[in-house]
Amino acid sequence: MAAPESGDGNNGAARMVTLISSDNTRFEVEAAAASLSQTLQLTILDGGGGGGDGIPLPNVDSATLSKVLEYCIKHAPAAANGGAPNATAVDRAELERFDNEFVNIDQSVLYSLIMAAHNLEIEGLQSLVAKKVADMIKGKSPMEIRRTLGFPDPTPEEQAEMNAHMLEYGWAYE
Amino acid sequence: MGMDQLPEDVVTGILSRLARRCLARSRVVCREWRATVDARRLLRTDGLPLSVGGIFVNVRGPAPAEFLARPSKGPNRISGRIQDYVQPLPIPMCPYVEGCCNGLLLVDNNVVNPATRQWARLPPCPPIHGELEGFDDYKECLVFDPAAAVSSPPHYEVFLVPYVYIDVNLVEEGSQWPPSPCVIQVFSSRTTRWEEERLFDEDNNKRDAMDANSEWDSDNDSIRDIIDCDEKLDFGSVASIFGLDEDDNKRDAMDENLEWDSDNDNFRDITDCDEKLDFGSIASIFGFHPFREVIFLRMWNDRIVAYHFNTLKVQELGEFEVEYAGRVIAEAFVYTPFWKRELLMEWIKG
Repeated sequence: MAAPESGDGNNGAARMVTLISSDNTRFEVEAAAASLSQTLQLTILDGGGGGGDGIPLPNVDSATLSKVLEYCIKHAPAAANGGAPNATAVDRAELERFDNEFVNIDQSVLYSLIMAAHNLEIEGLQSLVAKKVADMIKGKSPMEIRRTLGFPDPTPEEQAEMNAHMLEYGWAYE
Repeated sequence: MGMDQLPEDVVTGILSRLARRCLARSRVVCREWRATVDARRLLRTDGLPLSVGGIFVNVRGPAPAEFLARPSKGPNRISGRIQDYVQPLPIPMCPYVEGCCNGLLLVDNNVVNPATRQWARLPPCPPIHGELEGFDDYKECLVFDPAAAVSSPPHYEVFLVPYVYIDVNLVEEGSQWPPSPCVIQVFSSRTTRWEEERLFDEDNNKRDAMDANSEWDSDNDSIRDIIDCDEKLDFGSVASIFGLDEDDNKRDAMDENLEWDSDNDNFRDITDCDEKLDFGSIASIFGFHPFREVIFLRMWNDRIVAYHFNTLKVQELGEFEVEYAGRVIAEAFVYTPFWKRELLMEWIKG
């Protein structure tokens, strides 16, 4: 699916939309970048978000939104190319480098990003953050996973339940 | 709010990227994760192609490939009408199964999953450069390893393998095949694009390369029907080769249920039939069970039977009549359904 090009005008200037974070900060961004969000795409296709209106995003604060938009702006050209069949290996390597760097962040920021990617349905970002968390989990024991992700300590009841379930797939601990 | 409060979709996205061992450990982490692993059946093998769902059959002439399977009324019905997945072709062309690998079919430049009724169209392949430039006859070979799907998002590849007819009299002295370097086009669903891949760089690998080449066909479950060959095979001789006619008494009904369709429907076996199978007549090999010692045979009267080498038992699977008279069977593909939906979804969106 190509990024929406309606409303680009014929003079080459990219169409801009305004997004408003939960703390009322306004972000002006190219429609093509914002359209990486499946949630926003329909509104934008309908011509929303332009001019003084802006699209309110009550679930996303400004710090997170600015991070999300950094991702969208970087990935928009490749997405507009329909998965970028023309992209060179250099372009792809650059995107990969950007992605790796992008998720090299504090866990609280990562959590906000996960929720924003989920709420805004940004497919590429959803896989990127899911992969990041999966990488954090790899090779760890259940307790280590809990600690890594900042889960509260299990109650004695939960601990007993965990011990019981560890027996079910014993081979996973060999 | 923290990582222990993630929505289930998000948890699924994370856990489905883990290898089985890690997934089994993650299942212990908390109740919510355990519920997700169990509800999405992430640790189970249900979705994997571990049973035979039927046999796709290419028929010579202008007729679409047909699907031989036990009629099923269950919710998990496999759609055997491959013409539903492809764009209408100009008459008299008909959709034809070009390859079949672990639950995916290659049909007229589409990768099709008949179990989930999903499909994806391959983009056009860029022109070939290098030593293989100028070859215009290619066979597209579909490769899909669902076991790899547990540790990474599932993906498949299509290899464009040059098809060469060699006239031994015309081969120049010292000429080599495949050429070095051998660069072929490979499509990967991971990147959704064709890319050039160097296959065999070292001269001394050449022999292996050729062997590998010829093995690809068998990976694709592609079985040439003997009827298609010049010589017809008399079942009497096959029987002696495989020891089929060792002992008449051993040709009992099958007790065991051959995994044929998801309904677990029991097959009629030969004791239920009035007529005995006639082993003296011409039969042809229809296909091989992918992981059991079972051969599928097509009898002279269009009956398809499964012969179990281990138990020396015969099981009747049904009748396969070619819909149009006078058409011969070209190829048969034993098909093992792959029930996971993730594979083709992402790309169809794109």
